[in-house]
Amino acid sequence: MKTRWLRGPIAVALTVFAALALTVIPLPGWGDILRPLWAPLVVFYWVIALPERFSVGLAWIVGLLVDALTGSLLGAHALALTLVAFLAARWHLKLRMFPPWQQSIAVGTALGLYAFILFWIDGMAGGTGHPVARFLPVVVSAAIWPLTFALLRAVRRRFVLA
Amino acid sequence: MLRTLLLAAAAVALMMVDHRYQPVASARGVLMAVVYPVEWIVNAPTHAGRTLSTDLSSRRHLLAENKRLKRDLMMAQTELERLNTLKQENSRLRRLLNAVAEMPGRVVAAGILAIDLHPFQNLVTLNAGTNLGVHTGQPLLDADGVVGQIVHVGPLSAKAMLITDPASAVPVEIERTGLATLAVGTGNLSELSLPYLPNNTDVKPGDRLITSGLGGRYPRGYPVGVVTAVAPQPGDPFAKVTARPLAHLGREHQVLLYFTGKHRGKK
Repeated sequence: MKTRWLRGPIAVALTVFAALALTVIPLPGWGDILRPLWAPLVVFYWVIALPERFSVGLAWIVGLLVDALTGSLLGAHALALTLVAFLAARWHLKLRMFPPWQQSIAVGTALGLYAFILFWIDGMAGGTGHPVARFLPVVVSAAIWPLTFALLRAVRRRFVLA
Repeated sequence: MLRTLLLAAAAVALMMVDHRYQPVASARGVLMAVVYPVEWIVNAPTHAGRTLSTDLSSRRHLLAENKRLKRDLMMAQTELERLNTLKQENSRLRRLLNAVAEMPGRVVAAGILAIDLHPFQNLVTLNAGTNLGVHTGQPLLDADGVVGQIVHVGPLSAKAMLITDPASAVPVEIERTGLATLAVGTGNLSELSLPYLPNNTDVKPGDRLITSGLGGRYPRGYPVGVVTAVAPQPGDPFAKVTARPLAHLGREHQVLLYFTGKHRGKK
C-alpha cells in the first residue's frame, strides 16, 4: 500500500488530538485541579519512543495549540513543552531502560519544570496563579504515566511505527 | 540543541509580542480556528445530551413548560411596556438636561462551547467569532447580570473572561448610594472582591452592585452582584468587602453579547 507510511503520522496526530480534547473537556469542581497534563505526557511519550521523528518541533506546535485552546499567552506552553521535549530527547536512551516507577519520577521532574515555567510566565504577565493548582497536576501526571505509556505503546505497535 | 534554542527564542518572542501588542490577535484567530474541531468534539456529548433530553421529554412536560414560558413572556412584556415609557421619559429628561443621549445597545445570543475554570483563570469559549461581528472587549451578559468580556476572538469562536477571573475588574457602583468602585475577580466563581472601599464607607450586606459605565467597556446600569460581607480592617485603609455575582457564572449554556452603537454586529 502506498499510503502505509501515512498511518504513523495519522496515529500520532490522533493521540495529540485526544490529548488536546482531554485538556479542555469540562470537568466538575475538583477534576480541574487534578486534571493530568495530557499534552506534555503524550509529547513525552512520542519523543522517547521515536526521537528521530518527533522532537522539539512537534512539541512547539502542540504547545502553540494548547495556548490557543486555553487562552494563555501565545508561546507560553510552546516554550515549556519544547524544553520538556528537549530533555526527553536528550535522555531517551536512558529513559527507555528505566522501570516504570523510575520513568514516572523522570516524567514528574520534567513536568515539574514545565509547570514551573508556566507559573513563572504567569507571574511575569501579571497573573495570580495559586502554586498548588499548578503543581498538583504534575503529581497526578507522574502517577498515571505508566498507564499512558502502556496505552501509547499499544497504539505505536498497532500502527507499526518502528 | 540549536533547534531547541531557536524554538525557545521564537516562543519567548511570541509571548512578548502577544503580551504588549495586538498584531498577534490575527495569528491567534487562525490558531483558534485550527483548534475549533477539538472544542466542538469536546462539547458534542453535552450538546447531544441536551438535544436528546428535549426530544425525549414528554408532551405533558412540554405543555407545562410552554404554559410557564408564555406566562413569563407575558409578564416580561408588561414590564417591557413600562420600560419603554420610562425610556422615553428618560430621554426627554436627558434632553432637558442637555445631556448626551445614551446609545441603546443590541444583544445577540451566543452558546457556550467550553468552560475553563482554574483558580487562576476563569474563561469560557463561545461559539461566535468574527463571523458574528464579535470584538475584543465586548461585554457579555445573561438574564441576571454581567457575565464578563471578550478577550480573544477567532473566526468561529471567541474566549471570554468571566468577571470572577483574577485579572478582571468591573467598574461598579453601589445602587443604594451611587458610590463608584471596582469589583475585582477572585478566581472563585461565587465571589467578587471590592478592595478599594475605605473602612468608613456606607456599605452593608445585601447592597446591590450595578455597572457604573465608567471606563466605557460595560454598559451602565446592569446588575453585577450583591454584597455578602463587610469587614472593616482597623489596621488598613480599606475594608474587606466581598460580593456574590448575580449572573449564573459557569452554569449557563447561553449568554448575550452586547453590541453598542459603534459595533453593530452581524446577523
